[in-house]
Amino acid sequence: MSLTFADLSNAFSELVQGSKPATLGATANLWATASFQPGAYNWPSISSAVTGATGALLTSATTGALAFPATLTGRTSGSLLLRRVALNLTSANARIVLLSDRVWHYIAVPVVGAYGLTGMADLATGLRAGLAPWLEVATALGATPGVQTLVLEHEDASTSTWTATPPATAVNAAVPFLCTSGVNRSPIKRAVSLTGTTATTGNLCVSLQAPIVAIPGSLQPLGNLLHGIALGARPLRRDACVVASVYLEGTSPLLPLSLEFAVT
Amino acid sequence: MPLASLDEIVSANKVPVLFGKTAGLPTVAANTWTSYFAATGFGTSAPANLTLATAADGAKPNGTTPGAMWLIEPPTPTYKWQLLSATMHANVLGMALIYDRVWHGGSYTPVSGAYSFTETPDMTEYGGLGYTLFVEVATAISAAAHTLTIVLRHNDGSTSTNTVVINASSPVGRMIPVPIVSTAPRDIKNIVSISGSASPPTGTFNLVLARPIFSFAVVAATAAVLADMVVTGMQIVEPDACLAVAFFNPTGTTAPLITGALVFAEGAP
Repeated sequence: MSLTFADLSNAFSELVQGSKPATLGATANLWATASFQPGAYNWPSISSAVTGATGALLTSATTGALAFPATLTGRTSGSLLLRRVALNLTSANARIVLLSDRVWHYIAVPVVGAYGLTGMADLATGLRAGLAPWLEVATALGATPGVQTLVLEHEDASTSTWTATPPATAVNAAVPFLCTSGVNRSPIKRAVSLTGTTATTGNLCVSLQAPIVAIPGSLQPLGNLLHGIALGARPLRRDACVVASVYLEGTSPLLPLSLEFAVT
Repeated sequence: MPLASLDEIVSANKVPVLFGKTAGLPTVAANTWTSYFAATGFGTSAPANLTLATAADGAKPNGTTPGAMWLIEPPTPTYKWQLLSATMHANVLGMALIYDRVWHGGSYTPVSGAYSFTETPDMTEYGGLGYTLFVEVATAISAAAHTLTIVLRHNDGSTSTNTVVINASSPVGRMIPVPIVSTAPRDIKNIVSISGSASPPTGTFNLVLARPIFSFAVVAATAAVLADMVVTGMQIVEPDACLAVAFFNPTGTTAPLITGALVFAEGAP
């Protein structure tokens, strides 16, 4: 069922009567200032547990994901639409805040050569739209692990090769993978392999994420109340694993963030 | 289908296209446009530099060309995209131009007289309207100015002879708009020929035919820009566009770090 403009007001009424808006700011350790890395993107504090060979599919029930209220989790059909974002930027060092639906990730100890990422099943068709790969430091690394090479398979059965180098050894530092060969706009359906260049302690995380909205930082610390439609928000899966990232310069900000969703 | 109502816009939203130019930033000269095409961002790897290796009649890059913003969803054969919202942050005051690199050619070494250049194919993107022609410096120009004479053909079949000066010591990345002398018409169907002035400098340059999509006015360093569908004008964008960024710094020579996102809806006829 497609969302309509009228759904926004109708569904919002239901949402405020049935539950409080979902809140990120109250989630423990999601915005822990000490672990933000300047000069890099930061995807903080989703579950950092080492995964098995196929990685893990993620939902709103994943540790660290935006905790949806029962109004949303109790539904068995329909979609979500980000209706409103309340964001309090306490520092001008926040360059941009990205909200994404984190669909899948794989976490492992850095190795030389092939990681144990094998046998990942094809993602369901409905999960593939707009996915892009990210590399993050899931737990602090003992040394800079160098370039990581990821091979992805697309819907059209072609493969593409992507590389990324962790921007720091500290937890949360993240960088998008860049495609070096097999550039293809066919949707990504699975990760085929991951190869490293340095063995060290700690954990790296490779994830596939679909952007929801990007909220630019500002000149001064201030509070923003933004309309999801103005931001171009699109319908989401009902049990989306919504996570937030910040690109940071300088000292870490506190970023209390609250989201409201319309549902159909 | 054409987007005729807010309902259809809501349903037609696509995944945001993230763009971030956070590494390999260019050298900026004050009061000129600077190309960010070779800076590192999202999606495809950035090219090593601005040096192009196109055919004699240039090339039409697309969304998978290194340096382009990565258009994350597949192009569709029937409908075009429309810019629904745009957000951006830059840590330097100025103007950021998002444009579709409809055609580019190069890299050319300045010569005296006619360049080795083959007349380009006709430009049909966006109905053949709304292009701006830029000179893009690929490797630094030595201490001598160079005047280019560019013959353009217009959609009515007429031609015009236009000149632009590449300043002495122009740095890598400088983008110089080519003024079109024709008063009517001013559109560009294709590029017919190029010739250069005597005593040419060393260095290389590209020609870039750009379709401007949206301009971000960064009114102060680190000021955010957020434009909704009214502000963007829901500009039509070819789904196979080679979207790129140029920045104009009116006050200094700092290259800003640029991050942002574009959201498109699909449905323009």
